[in-house]
Amino acid sequence: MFHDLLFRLRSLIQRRRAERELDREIQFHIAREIEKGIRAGLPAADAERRAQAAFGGLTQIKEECREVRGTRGLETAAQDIRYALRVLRKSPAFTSVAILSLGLGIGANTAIFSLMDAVMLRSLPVQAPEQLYRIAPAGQAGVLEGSNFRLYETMRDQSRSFAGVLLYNPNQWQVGIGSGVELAYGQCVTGNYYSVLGVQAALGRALTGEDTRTEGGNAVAVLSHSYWRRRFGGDPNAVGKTITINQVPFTVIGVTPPEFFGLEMGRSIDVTVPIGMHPQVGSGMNLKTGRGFTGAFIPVARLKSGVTPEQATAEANVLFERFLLRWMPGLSAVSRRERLQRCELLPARNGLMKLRSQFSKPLRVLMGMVVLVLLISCANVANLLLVRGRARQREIALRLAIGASRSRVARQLVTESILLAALGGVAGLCFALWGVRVLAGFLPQGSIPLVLSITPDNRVLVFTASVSLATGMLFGLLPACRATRLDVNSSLKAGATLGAPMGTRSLGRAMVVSQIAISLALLAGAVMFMRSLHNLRLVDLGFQPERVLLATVTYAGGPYQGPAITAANDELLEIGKAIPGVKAASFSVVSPLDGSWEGENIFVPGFVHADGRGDEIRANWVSPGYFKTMGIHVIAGRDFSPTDMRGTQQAAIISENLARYYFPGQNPIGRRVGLQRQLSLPTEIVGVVRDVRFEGIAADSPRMVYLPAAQEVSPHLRTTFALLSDRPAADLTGAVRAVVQGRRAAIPLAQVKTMRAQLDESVARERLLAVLSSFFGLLALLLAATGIYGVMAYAVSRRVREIGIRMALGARVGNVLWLVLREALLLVALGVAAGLPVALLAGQAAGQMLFRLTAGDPSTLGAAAGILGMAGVLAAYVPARRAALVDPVTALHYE
Amino acid sequence: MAQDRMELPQGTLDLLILKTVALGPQHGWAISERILQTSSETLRVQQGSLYPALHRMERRGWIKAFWGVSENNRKAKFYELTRSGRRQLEAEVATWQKLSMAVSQVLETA
Repeated sequence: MFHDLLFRLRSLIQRRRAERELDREIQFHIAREIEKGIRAGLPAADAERRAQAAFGGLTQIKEECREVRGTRGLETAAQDIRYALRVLRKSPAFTSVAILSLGLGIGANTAIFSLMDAVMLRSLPVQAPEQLYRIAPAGQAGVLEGSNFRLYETMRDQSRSFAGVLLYNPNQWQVGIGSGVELAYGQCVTGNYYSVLGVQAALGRALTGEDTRTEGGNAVAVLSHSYWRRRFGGDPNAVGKTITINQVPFTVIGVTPPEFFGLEMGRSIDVTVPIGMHPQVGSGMNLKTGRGFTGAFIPVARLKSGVTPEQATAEANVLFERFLLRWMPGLSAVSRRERLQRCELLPARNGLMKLRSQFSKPLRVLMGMVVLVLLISCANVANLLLVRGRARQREIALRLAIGASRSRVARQLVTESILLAALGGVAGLCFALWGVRVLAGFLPQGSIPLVLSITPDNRVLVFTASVSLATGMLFGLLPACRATRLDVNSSLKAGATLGAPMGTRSLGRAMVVSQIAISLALLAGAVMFMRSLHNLRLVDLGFQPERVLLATVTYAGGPYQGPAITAANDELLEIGKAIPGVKAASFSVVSPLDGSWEGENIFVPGFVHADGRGDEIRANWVSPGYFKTMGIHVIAGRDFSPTDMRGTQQAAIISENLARYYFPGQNPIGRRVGLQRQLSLPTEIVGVVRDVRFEGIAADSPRMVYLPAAQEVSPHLRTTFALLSDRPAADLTGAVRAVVQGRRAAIPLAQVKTMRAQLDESVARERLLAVLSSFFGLLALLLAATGIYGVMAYAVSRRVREIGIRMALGARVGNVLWLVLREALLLVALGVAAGLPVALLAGQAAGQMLFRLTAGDPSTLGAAAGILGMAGVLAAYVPARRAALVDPVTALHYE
Repeated sequence: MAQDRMELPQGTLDLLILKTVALGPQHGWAISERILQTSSETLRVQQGSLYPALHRMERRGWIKAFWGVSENNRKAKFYELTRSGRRQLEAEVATWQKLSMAVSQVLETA
C-alpha cells in the first residue's frame, strides 16, 4: 500500500521524466524489433514498418502505461483546471457576471454567518464550556437577572451535581492609574472564578479561594490582557503596581490571557477583584445581609461530568426551595409567581449575552434569506451555463467525436463550474469582510462598548469553502449533463448552429420561474419588515428626538456625595447652556429609551385599586426646562421652576395616563399624593405632561411621575444632560466632551449620543431586519431580472426568423413588443403563483417580529408581486425592443 | 510459423513476466523475445499489453526498474524481481498448476 502511494507520488512529481523514460523504453523496443527484422533478411524499410505496426497504437499504449501509473485522476484534474481557466478567460463577460452573482450570494451568506458565529455560535475560551450553566430564578415574568448571595452559597455548599459554582457581579468603575481616571468595566468574583473556568493567568497569578477568605481586607486586582496593554502599555512590571478603583487602592496581581474576556460575550471585563471587596467598590450593599435579588450577581455552575443538565436542574430546584424557606420566608405570592417559581439552568457555553436573545431570531431569518439569495444566484449561473452549453455544442461534439468519453467531458464542465464557484467564493469573502463591518454597525452599542470579534475564523472560512463547493456542484451538474447528452452527428453538421437539445429552453424558463418565486418570498419579507419599521416610526413618541444630544455622567465611585452631586449637576448644566448653538438644556436621571428605568410607588388618598398592583409607576427626577428640551408638551399646570428646591413644598408633574388612571374626570392640579421615597412629605401635583414612550417604541407608555431633581434627598449617581441645539445634535459632541473634561475636577462622561441614535438603537433589531431584507430583496430582484433578461434575449435570438415572417406578413412593432413582453409576464405570473405559498410560509415564521402588521397581509404580497412584474417588464423590454426592430429582409436571410 | 501463435489467456501475462525476470534482470524486448522462444514461438506477447503490465507490476512492487546497458551496448530499462515479486510468482505458479490440472482432469473424464 505504502509502496503504491510512494510510486504514484513519485510519478506525479516526476511526470516529465516518467514520460521521457517511457518514450525511450518504447523506442528501444522498436529499434530491437527492426534489428531483428533486418537479421531475418527483411529490407530496412519493411522491417521498420513491421516493427511500428506490431506496436499498434503507440499513443494508446502510452496512455495505458500512464493509466497504470495511477496519477491519471490527478493529472486530468490539473489539466481540467488549466483548460477551464483558459475557457473562462476567453469569455470575460460571462465569467465576470457569473463570479459577481456568485460572489454576492456567497458573500451575503458568509457575512450573515460570521455575525451568527460571533453572536450565537462561538464558545467561551475556557475549559469544557459546554459544562457551564447559569443558575437563574425564573417565573411567569421570565428569568430574573440578579441573584442573592445566599442562593449562590446554598448551591455551592449543598449541590452534588456541580463541580463548582462561581458568582460574578459586573459593574462600571472609575479606575485610576497614575493620575488618569477612566471609566472601566469591572467585576467582583468569588475566589474560585478562575479555577472553575479553568483559566490561568498569562502574567502574575489569578485570584484563588484564599483571596476571598478575608472580607474587605484583600485589595487585589486581575487585569484583562487588553486593558493591561491599553493602560500599562503591556509592561510586565505592572504586577505589583497599585491602581485605584472608585478611589480605593488595589494591587495588581496578574493579567489574564488575551483570548479571555469574562463570561459575557460582547463586553470585555477590564478589571476583576475578589467579591469580598464588593462593599468597598460596589453600591455599598452588604452581600450577606442584603435581602432580595438585588443587582446583577450572576451564579454560574460547572456540571460534574456524567451529570445531565436535567438531573442538575432537578436537584437545583430542591435546593432553591430550601433557600427560599431559609432566606426569604416572607415572600409575597406575587413575587413567587412572577419571579421565583422555579430555578433554571441556562447554558453558558457561548457566553452570556443580552444581544443573543434579541438577535438570534432575526439572524436566523436573515440566514434563511441569504440561502434563498444564493439559490437564485445558482439558478442564474446555471442558466448562463445552459446558454453557453449551447454555444459550445460544436466544441463538445468535436471532443466527443474524437473519442472523449461523455463522463470525461462532463467532468471538464463540472470542473469549470467548481472553478467558477471557487472564484465566486473568493469574491464573496471579500464582500463579506466589508459587509460584516457594516452589519456590526447595526448592533446597539449601549453604554458599554460592544466587543465582538467578527473577523472570520476558521469556522467561517470552512463555511464559505463548503458553500462555494456545494454551489458549484448545484449549478454545474445539470448543465453539464445536458451539454453532454447531444447527438454528435447533427451537432457537427454545418449550419446546425442552434440544434439545441429539446427542453433546454423550458429548463431555462423553469429556472427563471423558480427565481421569481424565491424573489417574491424575499421581496415580501423586505416589504413586510420595511412596513413594520415604518409603523414604528409613525408611533407618537410623546417627545421630540431631533437635534437633542444626550450626555451621561456618572458619580459612582467618585468623590461627589449627596448635595455635592446636585451642585455639580447645576454647574455642568450652566456650562452646557453656554455651549454655542445650544438652545435649551436640562438634565434628568433617566432618559427615554435608554434601557433603564426607576420604579416608584404612588399612594393617592381615596383611590382604590382594581387589582392591587396598580400603584407601581415609573419616576424620573428632572431639572426645570426638561420638558422644553425634550419637546414633551405640558398639558396642564406648570413646569418645575428654580423655586422648587429643598425645603419648599414637594412638587410633582404627572403623565396624562397617570392622571386619567388616578383622577378620572377630575383636575389633578393641586392634589396631594404620597410617594414611597418621600412618604413623610405629601407631594403636590403641579402639572400634567404628555405620555412618553419610555421602555421601547412598541411598549405602551408607562404611568410616570416627574420630580424636581433639586428636591431629591439622596441624588442618583448618574445624570443625563439633554441639549437641544440649533444644528445637527452630533455636531455638539466634541464641544460637550471638551467642556466636561476641561473641568478642574473631572467628572467621567459615561456616554455621549444623540437622542436619534438612542431611538435607532432601541429599534436596532427592526432596522437590521428592514435594511438587510431590503438589500437581499433588491439583490434577488436584480438576479431574477438578469435571469428574465437572459431567457428572453435568448428566446428572441432564436425566433428572429419567425418574427421576421410575422413582420413581413404585417405585424406591427406593438404586436411584436407584446409578443415578447407577454411571455415575460407569463413567466412572472407563474413565478408569483409558485412563490405565494413560500412567501406565506416565510411570513408566518417572521410574524412575531412585526409591529402593527400581520404576516401574509395581501397588500404586502401585492406590492412584492407588483415590483416583480415591473422588473420583469423592464428586463424583457430590451430584448423585446430588439425583436421589434428586426428587419424582415435580414431576418429571412438569417441562418 | 506465425500460424500457431496464440493469444495469451487472461491473467497469465503477469505469471510469464514474473517467471522470465526471475531468471535475471531483463529489458522489455528481451522479456517478450524470451517468452516467444521458450514457448516455441507459440506465445506472442502483444507490446500493447507488455508495457502497461510491466508498469503495473512495478507499481505493485513485484518488479523493480533500473537503467542499464543492453547486450548491444545501448541504454535500456531493465526489470528485476523483488522479494515480494518472488512470493507473488510462487503463489501464481501454484494457482496456475492447480487450475491447469483441474482443467485437464475435467477434459479427460468428460
